[in-house]
Amino acid sequence: MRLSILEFGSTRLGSLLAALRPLASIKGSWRFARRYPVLPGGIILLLVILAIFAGQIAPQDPLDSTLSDTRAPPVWLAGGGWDHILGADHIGRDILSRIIHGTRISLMVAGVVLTAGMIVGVTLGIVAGYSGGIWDEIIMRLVDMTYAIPFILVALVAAVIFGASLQLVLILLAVFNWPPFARQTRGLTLQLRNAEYVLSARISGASPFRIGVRHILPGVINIVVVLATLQVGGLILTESVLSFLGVGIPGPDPAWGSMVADGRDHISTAWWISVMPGIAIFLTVFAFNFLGDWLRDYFDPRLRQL
Amino acid sequence: MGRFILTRIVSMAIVMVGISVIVFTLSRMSGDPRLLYMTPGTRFSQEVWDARGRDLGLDKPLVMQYLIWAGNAVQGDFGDSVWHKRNSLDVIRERAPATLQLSGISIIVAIFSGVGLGVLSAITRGSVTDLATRGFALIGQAAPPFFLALVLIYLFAVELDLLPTSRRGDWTHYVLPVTTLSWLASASIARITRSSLLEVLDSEYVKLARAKGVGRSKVILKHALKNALIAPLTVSAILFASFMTGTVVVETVFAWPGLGRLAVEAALQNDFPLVTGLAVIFAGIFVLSNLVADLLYAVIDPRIRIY
Repeated sequence: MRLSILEFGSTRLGSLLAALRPLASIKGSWRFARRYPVLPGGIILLLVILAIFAGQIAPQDPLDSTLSDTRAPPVWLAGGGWDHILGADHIGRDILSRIIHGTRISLMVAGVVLTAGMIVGVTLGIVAGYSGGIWDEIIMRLVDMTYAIPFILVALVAAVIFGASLQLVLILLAVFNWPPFARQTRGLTLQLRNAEYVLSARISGASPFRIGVRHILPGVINIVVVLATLQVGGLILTESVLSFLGVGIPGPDPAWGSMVADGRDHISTAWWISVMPGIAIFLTVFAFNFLGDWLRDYFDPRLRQL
Repeated sequence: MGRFILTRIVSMAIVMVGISVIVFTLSRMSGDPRLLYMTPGTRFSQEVWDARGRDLGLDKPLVMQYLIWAGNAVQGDFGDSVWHKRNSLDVIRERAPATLQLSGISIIVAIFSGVGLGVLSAITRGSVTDLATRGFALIGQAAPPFFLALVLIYLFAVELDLLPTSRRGDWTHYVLPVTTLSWLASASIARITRSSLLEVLDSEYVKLARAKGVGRSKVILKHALKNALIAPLTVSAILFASFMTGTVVVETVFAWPGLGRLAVEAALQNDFPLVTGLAVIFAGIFVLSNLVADLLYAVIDPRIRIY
C-alpha cells in the first residue's frame, strides 16, 4: 500500500506503527535501516531540532567574539579546549554555535523559497496544462526563458543594485525556483485532463477552477512533494554559493557559505574555519538528496528523470 | 528535421530577446547611466549633462532606448566598461580564452571520467567498486564547489605542497581548478551512464546477443554502450552550460583570470556595461549549449523530431 504524505488519518498512522515493529529485534532493525532512509532521516530530524532550538542548544552566542580565542583549534587537536568544540574562527567566534544558528538560516531559506516556488509553479503548471493554447505557450516560454538566464549573474547584478540582504536572496531564489514545478505539473496535468473522472466533472458542469483544485491538484501533489524534496539540496547549495561570493546573506549572520568564505585566507593556518561549515553544508545537502531519491523511488520508480 | 531545427532556433531567439529585456531593465534600475561615468565629487555643467544624455539616447522614450541598446548589443557593443575605461566586449574577449580553456578541459575530463566510472559501476553492480563509485557521485552532488576547492587546496597545496593554488601557468595550475569544476559534472554523467547502461543491459537485444554466445565484454562494448551513451552525451551539453555558474566560483577561489572572476569583479565594482555584456554572452552560451543538446538528441533518437 502506498503511503500518501498528505493523508495521515488513523489508518495511516496504524500502518506507520506497523512499519516500525521490526525495530524490536536486531535483525529486524537492520532490515528496517536498509529499507528506509534512516541515516538521512536522522540528519534531517537533527537539523530541524537544531534550527528550532538554536538559542537553547548553541553553547555560545554566535556573534560574540573573544579575541583571545582567535583561531582556537577544535577540541581534539593540540591546544583545543571544550570552550570551542569545533574551534573558533578568525575573530574568535565559536564555530559550533555559528553552525547551529546557521541551520536556521539554511532551512528557513529552503522552506520559504520552496513554498513560494511550489505555489506559483503548480498554479501556472495546472493553468498551462489544463487550458492549453495561448496561455500554455506564454507560460512555457517563460519557463524556458527562466531556465536560460544565468542565475548567478542576475544575482550579482541585483546584489549591487539593491544591496545584499536576506530578502533579496529569498526573492531571487524564488523567482528562479518555480519553473521545474511548472514544467512537471504541466506534464502531469496534460495526462490527467483527459482522464475519465476529470471529463465527468467537466460534463457535470464543474468550473475550471474547481476542476483544477479538486480534481487535478490531488493527482499531482505527490510528485510535487518529491520534486520539492529533491530541490532542497540544490537550494541550500545555491544560497551557500551566493553567501560565499559575498552577495548572499550579509555578515555577521552565520550563513554557512559566508563562514566558509571567512576561513579562505586562513586555510593554511586554521583549516577548521572553512572545513567545519563546509561539512555542515555537505551533510545537509547529502541528506536531502538521499531522502529525495528515496521518496521518488518509493512513490514511482518511473520518475527517475526528475 | 529542418522544421525541428527551425522551431528550436526561433524559440532560442525569443528567449534571448526576453533575457535582453530583463538585463536592460535591471541596468536602467541601477540609476541614470550618466552617473556611472562620473568621478564622484565632480559635477557636469547642465549643457554637458544634457549633451551626454542625447549621446546616450536618454531623451528618447524607453522603448526606443531599449531598441538602441539592443541594436548596439547585437553588433557587440555593450558600452564602455566603467572600470576598464574601454569597450566591454574587448575586455570580455581578452578574458574569454582562460574560461573557455578551463571549461573545455573540464568537460572533456568529466565526460571520460564520468562515462568510465558509470560503466565500471554498472558492470560491477552491487560490488565494492560500485559502492565506491556511487559514493564519489554522491559527494560530487552534495559538496559545494567552493568547499571542494578549499579542501583540495588544503590537501594538495598546504599539506602536501604539490600543486600551485592560483593563477594560470604550466599544467600543474590546471589540476585543482579542473578537478573542482569537473567533479560535479563527472558525478552526474556517472550516475546517468550507470542507470542507462543497466537499462540497456536488461533489454532483449542484449540478451539475444548473450544467448548467441557473444562474450560479455564484447556485448557491453559493441552492443550496449552505443545505446547507453545517448543520455550521458546529451546531458554533457547541458552540463557545459552549467559550467558558466561553476566558473564564477572556481575562478574566484583559484584567482583564475577568466570571465567568471570578471563577472564578480564587475558586479562588485558597479560596472554595469560590463555586467550586462557578460550576462548576455553567458546567456548566449547557455542557450546555444542547450540547442546543441536538443539537436544531438534529435540526431541520435529520431523519435524526438516529431515535437
